[in-house]
Amino acid sequence: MRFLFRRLTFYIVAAFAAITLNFFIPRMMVGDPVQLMFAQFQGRLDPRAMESLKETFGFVQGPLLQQYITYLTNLFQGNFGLSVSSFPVPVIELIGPSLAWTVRLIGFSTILAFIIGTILGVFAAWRRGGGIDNIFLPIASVVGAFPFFWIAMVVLYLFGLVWKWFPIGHAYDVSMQVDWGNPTFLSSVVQHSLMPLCTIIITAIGGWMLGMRNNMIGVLSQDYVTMAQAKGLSDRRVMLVYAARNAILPSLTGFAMSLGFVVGGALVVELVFAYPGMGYTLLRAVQGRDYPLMQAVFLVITLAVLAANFAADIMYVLLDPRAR
Amino acid sequence: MSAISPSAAKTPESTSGQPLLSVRNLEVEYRTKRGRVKAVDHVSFDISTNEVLGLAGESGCGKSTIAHAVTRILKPPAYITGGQIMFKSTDILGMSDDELRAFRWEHLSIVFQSAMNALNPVLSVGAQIIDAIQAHMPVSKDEARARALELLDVVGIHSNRVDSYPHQLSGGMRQRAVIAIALALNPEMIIMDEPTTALDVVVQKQIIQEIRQLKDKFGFSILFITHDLSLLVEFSDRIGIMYAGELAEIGPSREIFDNPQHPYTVRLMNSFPTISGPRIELKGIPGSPPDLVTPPSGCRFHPRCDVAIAGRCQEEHPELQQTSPRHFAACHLIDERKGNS
Repeated sequence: MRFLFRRLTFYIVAAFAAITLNFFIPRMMVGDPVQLMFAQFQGRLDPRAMESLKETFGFVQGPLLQQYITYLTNLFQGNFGLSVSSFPVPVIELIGPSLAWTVRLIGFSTILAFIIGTILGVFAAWRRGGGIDNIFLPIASVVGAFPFFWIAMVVLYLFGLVWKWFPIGHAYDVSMQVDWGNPTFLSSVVQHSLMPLCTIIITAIGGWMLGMRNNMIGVLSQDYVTMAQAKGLSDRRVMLVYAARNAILPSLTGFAMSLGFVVGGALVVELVFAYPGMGYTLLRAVQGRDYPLMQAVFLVITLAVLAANFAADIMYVLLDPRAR
Repeated sequence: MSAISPSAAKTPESTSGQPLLSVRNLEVEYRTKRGRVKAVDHVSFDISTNEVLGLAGESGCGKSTIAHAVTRILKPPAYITGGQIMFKSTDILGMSDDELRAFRWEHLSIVFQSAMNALNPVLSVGAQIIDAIQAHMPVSKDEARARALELLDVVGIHSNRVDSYPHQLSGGMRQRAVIAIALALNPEMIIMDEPTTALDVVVQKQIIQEIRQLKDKFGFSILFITHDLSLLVEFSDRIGIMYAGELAEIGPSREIFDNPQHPYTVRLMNSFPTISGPRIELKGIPGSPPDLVTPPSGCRFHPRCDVAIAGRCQEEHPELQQTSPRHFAACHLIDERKGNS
């Protein structure tokens, strides 16, 4: 418990540092978005327009410290300013839904890929030289080594365009209203998510599987596994409680990192499948020079990495008594 | 010496003088890339009820391999290629996996060399005793736990450590915990594979004392594997000296100590200091153990032996021969001595 408390303190400090940097870095850069836009218009813009633009962007007058305090206050109220590319929608309203879509799709598929890969890795090591180990593992590793976007496009082309099994873009049928209580809407969401979901799973599974298999093989040669077998325990108990419980520990760090990148890291999948998640939003923000949106996306990504790390710490404490 | 204690009730027939464990012409091979290595070559010995047999020798002489072969926990590339291992009247090598699962721990358990590696780091000590008990007996978790507490008490671990994890225990306590697990089903025999090697000398002494007391209390037999001959002399009833996969000499501890027959035993004795004995100059054994892919011809010890008989020891493989009622050694010098007397 003390360990978790220490970690939590660390993450809070880190989050605060990230929030602070998020404020200062743009302000330390030469020029600001308003000046940039102003320059693009090559003097055809009234200087008074610059003032109103600044106001639009949420620039606050006054000393830096006062600006900083305003920024913090806004942040805690969920006020990230107004989007420029979708003016005048508040940034929070753009980020909210896209974050939810990303966490649902990418988060779910990352966790699923980890679970499936790990379980297959356990069996590959347990029946070393068996079917999973000799056939499935090499295939999964090769698929995992292909460029991500390539797999995504192949999936999109075959299942979306050639066979038309699944809809090729967006998170749900756009003719529908978002209504989570409506079964038709839910099935539309599932249909839209299957292609990106499978793409992520088939590309990620090989890595988890290989990692877990190799950890397992190391653990299986440990005396405590031999002793567990000699004690007369069932194979199931030896495999799960004695071998896998120990073999999974090194995988957790990698899993936490991939969870942290869920929010920001699935850019390619979201682009290929035109999925309205964070990656897609970030791309739009960059293309539209939407600084408030960008800033908010970066902040959310940073906080997500910290949160995922904390989740990993909790998992560690639960699974490894030595970490308590 | 082999008084049968009340707890040996599992072995009524052992009173007939039949050994508890009987190993005959055991052969174990390691199938390596460089070729087949015969790590154990025609080794035979018996252990009777409540007896301690010590097996000593340098690293790689095959002593641990014997321990693992007897419990059938050898893993590839090691294979038992010949011989017979009988436990009372059951053939251990002929057992199916299910029979083995039921047999091991109930009749024969093993204590591993390094207690840190023998305990699962993510399970409490108590849980590791409880699962052994529950794997063999239809008892409730509470009953098994009560038995676990009892066992910890027996090996000198306070019962409030039952929920401790291995990393929370000292090296000596971990080894005691491993011994408690080995005792869990009150087996007739415990194989101890260098149980004290990883411990410092003081703790080592304590553990050996405790093992001896436990043995007297519960009446099990011990096959004790070690490279520390000085430890065996005071602890075991009989000692077997292994060299290059073969038994070089076997006999009662006292006789081995007072009257070693094999030059290797003599050299091995001289490489350990005795605490109470006279001051002697310690001598190592020159050279190193042979490569078992291509073992030396004749007597395997001859390249390192300073009393080898020119011609004969290089050519002729010595067989174990009796030198006194319970003492056997495999050395051509015994013939020479007989011839001279």
